[in-house]
Amino acid sequence: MKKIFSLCFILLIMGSAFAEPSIQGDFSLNGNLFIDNSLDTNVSSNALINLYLSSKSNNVKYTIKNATTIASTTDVTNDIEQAYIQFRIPYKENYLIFTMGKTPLDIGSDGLINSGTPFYINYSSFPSIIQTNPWIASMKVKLLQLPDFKSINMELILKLPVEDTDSKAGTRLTFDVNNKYFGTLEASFLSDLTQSILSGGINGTLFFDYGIYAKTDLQNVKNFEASLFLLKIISDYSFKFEALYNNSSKSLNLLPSLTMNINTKVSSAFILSTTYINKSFTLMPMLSINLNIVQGLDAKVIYTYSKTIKHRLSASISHKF
Amino acid sequence: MKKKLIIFTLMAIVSFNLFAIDVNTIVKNYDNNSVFETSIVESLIVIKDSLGTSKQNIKSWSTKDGKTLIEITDGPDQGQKVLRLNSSIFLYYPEANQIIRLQGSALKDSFMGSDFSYEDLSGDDSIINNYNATLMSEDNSSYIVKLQAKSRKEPYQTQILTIEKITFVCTKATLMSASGKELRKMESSDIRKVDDKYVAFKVEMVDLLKRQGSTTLIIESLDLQTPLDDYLFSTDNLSW
Repeated sequence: MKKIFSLCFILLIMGSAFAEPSIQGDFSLNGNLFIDNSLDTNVSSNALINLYLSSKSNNVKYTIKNATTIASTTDVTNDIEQAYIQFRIPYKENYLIFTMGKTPLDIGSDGLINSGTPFYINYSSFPSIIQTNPWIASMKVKLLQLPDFKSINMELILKLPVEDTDSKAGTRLTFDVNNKYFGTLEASFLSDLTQSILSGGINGTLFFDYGIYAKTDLQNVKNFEASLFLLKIISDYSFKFEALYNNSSKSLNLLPSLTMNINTKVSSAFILSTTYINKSFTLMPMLSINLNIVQGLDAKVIYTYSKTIKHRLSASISHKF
Repeated sequence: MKKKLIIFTLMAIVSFNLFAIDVNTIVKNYDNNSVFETSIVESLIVIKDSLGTSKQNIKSWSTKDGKTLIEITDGPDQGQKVLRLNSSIFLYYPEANQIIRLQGSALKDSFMGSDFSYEDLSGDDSIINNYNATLMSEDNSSYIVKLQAKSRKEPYQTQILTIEKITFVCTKATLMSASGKELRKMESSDIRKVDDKYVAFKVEMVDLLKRQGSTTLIIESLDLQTPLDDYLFSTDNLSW
């Protein structure tokens, strides 16, 4: 942990040499009420402070995002979600872009579950929905610039063995098609010799905005995952459907959701998480209502039901600063 | 006497036709005035609704062929960017360091909760290329022009514009769907001359599908001279 803070500090010092930082964040108070079948109740609460520090100049930028959760006076956890520096140097009318640190790479679709990222492969029946960002060092180069904003790019990626994770090296190729039906085609390969993950996918628009991704472990090709992402926005309604099939656990996860903007201040969402494994379905419906009280101040109420936790009512109030 | 009256009437008709301006010229002048080779605009967006007022500062870069990049420079969504290329919109969220591509109907969606749509703030504004125009009426100061979209892809199938005779700036607009339903109303004011163009520095938009509220865009600086590099409109630059 100390090493990570030191690294963040070094990134901050390096970044500070180039530009003034901007600090943003939010503070939220969260409460949970659990009610089981015998109507026994259990209450928990915590406070969450997100700090987002970033800065950019023409050719250098850095970001540090930290989340602190305070559940009690003795239970304080700290998680550095992002800590990376990027710089770019001119190269053949474009730029070489270098990235170092803990960063979310825009691999895969904008989904909660997707098989785009080649950093790991799931063997469990339920996907790890909240993925930890990897520590990487990478270099991105535009190989070919074509007319109509089409281009072919290559990224060399080294996954660093930080926070007890393994190291991998590989490459990622993307073809930005950017036409009426296709957005980006991509293929990635990362290996540490014991595990080599090949992944690929495509996104675009065909009535729905879509993303289709798959990946496999080349040392054991039966371990593969495939995911589908669909999004359609019609006026104040947004429909999203996500699906993930994992062959090693023979499980299928479906995540349809409908979000509705009731007016500029109130929105609601309904999500029906469905897991199919061993010929049985597990359903977990979730209904949330979000109220924007004033600019930067939001309140949210979420109701969730599942076989294991039964009824859960969560309420939170958060303020951006 | 009768002969003199006929000659006078004929002269009046001839002179009226000499000074009258046809609708294509009006639209051409409007396009010449409102379409810029390049523009860099810094503006303040004020969104009013039943529960209060919110503000965002934005900076936008655009070219004549419709390429547009918008960055929110201050406000609750600071750092978010929007890139418009052809019929696609790319949204960049800095906290997720992720780009999302939207297309089709998403162009009609509200820009950051305002009464403007993505389409209103980006893309090719040219009327001649996209609409057939008819002159409905005119008075001493303005022309009232009705526009009918040439294709179904236009977000507003019908528009009624009030165009000032001297500046060729649109001071009022009613934007409608194919069925004739009014979708948005726009009013502009504070017209200033920048280089050889007249520009409205204050634009108020009302989304008529919302129950109440309005959005005002106030231009704080406008640069029509600086050439813009194509790299500015790339997805690589968007995530920078």
